[in-house]
Amino acid sequence: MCRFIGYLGSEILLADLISRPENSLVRQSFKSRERSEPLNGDGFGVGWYAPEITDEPCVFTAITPAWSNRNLLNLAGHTKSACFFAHIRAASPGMRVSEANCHPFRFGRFLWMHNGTIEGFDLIKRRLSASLPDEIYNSIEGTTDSEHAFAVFLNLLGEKRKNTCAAELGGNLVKTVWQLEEWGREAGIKKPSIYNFAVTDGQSIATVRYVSDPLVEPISLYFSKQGKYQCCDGRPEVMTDCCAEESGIIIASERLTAQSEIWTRVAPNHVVTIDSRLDVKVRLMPDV
Amino acid sequence: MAVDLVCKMDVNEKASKPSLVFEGNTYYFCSEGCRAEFKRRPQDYLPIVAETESCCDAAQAEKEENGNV
Repeated sequence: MCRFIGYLGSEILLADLISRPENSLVRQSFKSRERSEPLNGDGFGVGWYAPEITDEPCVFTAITPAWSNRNLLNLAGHTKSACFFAHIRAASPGMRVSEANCHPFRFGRFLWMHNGTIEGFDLIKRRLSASLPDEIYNSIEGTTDSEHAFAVFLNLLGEKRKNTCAAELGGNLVKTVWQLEEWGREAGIKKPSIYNFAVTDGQSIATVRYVSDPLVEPISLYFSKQGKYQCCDGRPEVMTDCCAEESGIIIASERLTAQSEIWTRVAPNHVVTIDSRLDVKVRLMPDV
Repeated sequence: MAVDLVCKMDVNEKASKPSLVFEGNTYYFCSEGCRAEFKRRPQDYLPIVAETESCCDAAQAEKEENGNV
């Protein structure tokens, strides 16, 4: 079911979130705490923005486990960004392990990650693909349900792809979930799907924690808006009294530190948006 | 107006919102998802009530008395 991290704020060294914290993403690749199966070793990916060069993010993916990839650890220790996504993969049974199937997925300025499963994906894949314009359909490089869900998101976003905001990203995430659910109902799929999606355009982030059956526990998702996050001498530290321009928001499948007071669990079937001023909004997913 | 203890949203308890009676108190939620989440781990969401005197206070007083702080 994978694990992920997203970050928006003042520039931060990728290692401060990916490899240095007590429960870093690298650690979660072999010992995640909030999955019954702790291994997430079917590859990883990191996407980050360097707006001084281009609006489009750079993405680095590999099919090795994150824990054993020295390039990842080296890169994370030498790369700073004000917005990045990182993901470790636990492939669904039978799903190919390839770089093209590693998240985050990229389209133009957008990055996309997913924890979860579209139940009965094989039964809706044909109608999903048929709904897409050529430009988006042809951008799909892998075989995952996650990348196809991204394609649905992009299609529903339409012309707003050129210029969007946090509220529109969040609203469109909700539309994407409802569209997938509608196709699932039409195909007679009964088992609940799990959609923890995250999307960014480098300026804003939106994420959703969703499961079709409200009585089923969705996959964990947290956010932290406590201040500037930094690892000092290998120990994670949050500086809460720093000035506003030196702060950041983290979204994460698992808490990265034991400081439970700085992490807020996202309520089931709620959407979280973070705008460019780092204003965080949490709301119940509205019906469409 | 009540507050959903899971997502912290305001909830109109007169609007047939999901509710749950727990330890004699009725709690209201914005959705079935929040109700189910509260039912799974209520201790994570219930407000912490300050105790007037706890066993820890008594132990601390004893330590101070013995000059062992």
